[in-house]
Amino acid sequence: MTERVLCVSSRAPPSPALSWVGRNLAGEGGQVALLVADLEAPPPLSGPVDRTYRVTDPAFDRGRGDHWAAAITEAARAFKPTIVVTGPSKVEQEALARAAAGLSAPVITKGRRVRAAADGVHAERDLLSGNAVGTETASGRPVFVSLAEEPTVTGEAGRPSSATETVSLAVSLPTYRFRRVSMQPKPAQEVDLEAADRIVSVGRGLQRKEDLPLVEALATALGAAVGCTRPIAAESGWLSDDHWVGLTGHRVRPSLYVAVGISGAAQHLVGMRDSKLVVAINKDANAPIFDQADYQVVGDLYTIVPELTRQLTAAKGSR
Amino acid sequence: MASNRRWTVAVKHGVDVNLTRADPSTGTIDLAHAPRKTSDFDRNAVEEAVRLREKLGGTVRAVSVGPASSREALRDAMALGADEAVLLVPPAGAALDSRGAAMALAAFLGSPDGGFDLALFGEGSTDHFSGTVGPWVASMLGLPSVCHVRKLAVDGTLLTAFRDLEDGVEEIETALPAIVTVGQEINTPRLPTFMSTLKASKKEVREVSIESLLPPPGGPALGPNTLESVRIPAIPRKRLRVPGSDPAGVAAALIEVLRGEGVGPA
Repeated sequence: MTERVLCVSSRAPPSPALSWVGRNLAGEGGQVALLVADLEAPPPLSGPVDRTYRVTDPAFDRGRGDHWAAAITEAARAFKPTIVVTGPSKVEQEALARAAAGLSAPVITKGRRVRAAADGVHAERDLLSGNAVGTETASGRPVFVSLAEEPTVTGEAGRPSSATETVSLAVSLPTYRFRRVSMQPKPAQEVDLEAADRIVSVGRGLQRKEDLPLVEALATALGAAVGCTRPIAAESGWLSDDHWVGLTGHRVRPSLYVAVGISGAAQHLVGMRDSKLVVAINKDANAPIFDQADYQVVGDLYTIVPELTRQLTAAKGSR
Repeated sequence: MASNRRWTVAVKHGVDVNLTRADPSTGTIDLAHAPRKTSDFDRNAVEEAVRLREKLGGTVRAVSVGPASSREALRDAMALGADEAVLLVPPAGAALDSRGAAMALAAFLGSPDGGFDLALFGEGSTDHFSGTVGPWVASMLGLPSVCHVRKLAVDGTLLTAFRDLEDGVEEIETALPAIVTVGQEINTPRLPTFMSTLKASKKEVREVSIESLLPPPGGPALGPNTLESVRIPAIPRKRLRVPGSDPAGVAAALIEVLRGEGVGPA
């Protein structure tokens, strides 16, 4: 079946990959519209989009979910989409929920591998705080969907597109008082764990902040970044949140993950689950982390880690 | 002077993530029969509402949507300090998703009985985390929503809230009534005491049927979203014990193993 897909990108310039998500959902003969709030320049018209809706109201604020919701509502009235799809940002998700409410439309948030079928729209998503995955199905049309990650895949730019047209959209913006007063930017990251190929992570097995150099030395010997669990970051502040691996921290996928003194709480396991090879060092032979490890070292980190660092460094020197 | 300010908190009796196990024969999780508890961030929302009452007076009302078992979440909220509780009860046997819950909440909070100055929601539930219910209700009621709030203050009818976005923390000023969603960073919920739990168990939970709030057919015409093949993604691990009788031996054995796996010394 064919779909009419309205893609909503709050980014400037709008995400081209999102339009390709729309094209793939629309199917052969389907229609794709893109909603943008590019007030200065018209967006590029090539590629997968059949029609572009442009908000031109100077009062429109692209940082507001309720403004985007008003724009989605107008675009939906004009385009009559069967699927509305947005990116993963918090503002986009808020907009999606607010706009869906006006149509009482079903919503799937943070979807992966979204597909449309006769019986509904299906998407895979995380459940149970990231401990499980499942397939969510929304029946009927229209269905509102937001993506789990910013899409990156674009199709061929030279796709013979139907005549693209741009339509200016008048939106009715909310009138209640609402002011974005200021933005405190997040400080630059100390470490980019998502990009790290090797990570040595430390948990509550470490007794004092002063002992952190033990773990840092092992990381250096392995050429690894330093990660940690929630107690070490958010709770004790021994390391910044940039080092925090877990559900609300970073979700990492290195080729080597060494878990030092980490018991293996579910929220931590979610963050390191996609690691290729896992080594766990823990003195408690029954620690749950061992079930999730390829190689288990049962022993005291205070004796094992320095010895391991010494031998690794020596091995390096002798090469 | 007695304050008539109304702080409303929505709480979900959701699946208890830490107690949920997959059926070993199928590897899937039966959510319908999983153990339940109050969703984590909803407890932060209750705590924040109670702090507002402590500062500005008024009443904290907890509202939940679901079958009779959801009374547990309301008892929890009252043990944490909520003054009263309302349960919105779906028709017998009706399945409820985030959309259904949001529609019921919007209908109740928009009714003469449901008025509020500030309504607080968790920014997502521990089990499903759609993150849609707060902004959905705000939209239905024509009110501002401020999501992912990490700090807030109320002065008269002015709400100042700091929301956590991808690239920074943004300060928002808006007018009450309004809706906020909060995460765990906003506060540390107090622990219920024996006395507060006992007192909460004696308080009334008022039931309101969703059918009395929403026009027939008593809810969304479209079916609720369904979840299939819910499972814990299994990553096969080797689970091999590294041999060795002393730290030096274990370390040597581990380095050998790492070399074999192609992740030896840097």
